[in-house]
Amino acid sequence: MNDITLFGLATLGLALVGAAASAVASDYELENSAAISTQIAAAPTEAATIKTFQFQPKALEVRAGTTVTWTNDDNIEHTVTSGTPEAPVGNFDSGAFGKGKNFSAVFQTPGEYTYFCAKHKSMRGMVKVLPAE
Amino acid sequence: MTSITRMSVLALAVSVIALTGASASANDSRLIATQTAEAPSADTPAADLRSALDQLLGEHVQLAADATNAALHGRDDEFKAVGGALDSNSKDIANAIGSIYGKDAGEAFLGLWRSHISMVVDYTVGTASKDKKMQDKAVGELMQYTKDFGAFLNSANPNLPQDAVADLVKHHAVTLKAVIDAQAAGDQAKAYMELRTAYNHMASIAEALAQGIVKQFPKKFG
Repeated sequence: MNDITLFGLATLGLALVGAAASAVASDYELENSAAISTQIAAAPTEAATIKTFQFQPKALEVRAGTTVTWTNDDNIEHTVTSGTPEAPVGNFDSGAFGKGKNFSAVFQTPGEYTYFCAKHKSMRGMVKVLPAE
Repeated sequence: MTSITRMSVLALAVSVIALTGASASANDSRLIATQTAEAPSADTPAADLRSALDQLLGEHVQLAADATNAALHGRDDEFKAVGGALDSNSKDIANAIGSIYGKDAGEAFLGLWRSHISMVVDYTVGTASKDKKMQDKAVGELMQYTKDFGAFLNSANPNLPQDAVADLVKHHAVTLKAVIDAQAAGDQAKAYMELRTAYNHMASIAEALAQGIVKQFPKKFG
C-alpha cells in the first residue's frame, strides 16, 4: 500500500471518527439542551409591574433561583436599578425601558435586594430572597 | 253700632284674618316646597373636590413664591419656615390624591411632587448665583417633569390625557419661573403681577383634575 493510499485511509478514518464524535456530541448537546430546557421550564418565576410610578408589589418575597420579571405599564420610561439612589449596588440595572417592555433578573443568593428607578428616584422596591426549597 | 253689628264685624275681621293667614300659610308652604325642591346648592361632592383642589394648588404657588423670594434675598429663617409650610401643602395634596387612588398612589405622588419643588429650588439658587448652567439644567429637568407628571396622572386616570396634563404643568412652571425672575430682578410690581398670573393658572389645573376625577368616579362625586 503506497503513501497516498495510507494517507487517504487515514483521512477517511479521521473523517469517520469525527463524524461519530460529532454524532455523539450532538446527542450529548441534545440531551443537555433538553436538561437545560427542563431546568429553565422548572425554574421559578415571579412577575412584577411598574404602574403609576410604583413597583407592584413594593416588596416581593421569592425563593433563591427565582427569575423576577418587571413589566412597565406606565407611559414613561423607568429603570430597575439595584441599591438606592444614594448607594447604587450594581447587582442589576435594566437601563431605561418603556411601556410594555420587560426586564428580568435572576435572584440566586438569599438576602434582601433594594432597588429604585434611576429616572424617578423616589420609586423604591425590594426583593427578599429566601433559601431555595 | 249694635252688639250684633260689632260681633259681626269682629267675626268678619277674624274670618278675614284667618283666611289671610291660611292663605299666607299655604303660600309659605308652597314657597318652602319650591325652595327645597329647586334651589341649587354649591355643597356637592364634585364642588367640594374642585374647591379643595383650587385651594391646595393656589396655596402651593403662593408658598412657592414666598419661598423663592426669601431664598433670593437671603432670608434664611423665613425660607426654612416657608419651606416647611410648602412641604405641609405638598403632603395635603398627596393625601388628597391618596384619598382617591389609595395610600401607595398618594406616597408615589408625594415623591414625584417634591421632586419638582427641588427643581424650582435649584432654578432659584442658579438665579441667585447667576449660574446659567444650573438654571438651564433645572429648566430642563422641569420640562421632563411635566411629562412625568402627565404620565403619572394618566396612569391613575385615563380621563386625564398625558400631553394635556403635561401642557398645564408646563405652564405652571413657566409662570412660576416668571415670578422668580421678577423677584430676582427686584421688580416687585412685576413679581406680584406674575404671581397673580401663576396663582390664577392653578385653577385651570384644578378644573382639569376635578373633571377627570368626577368622570372616573361618578358615583362618588356625581
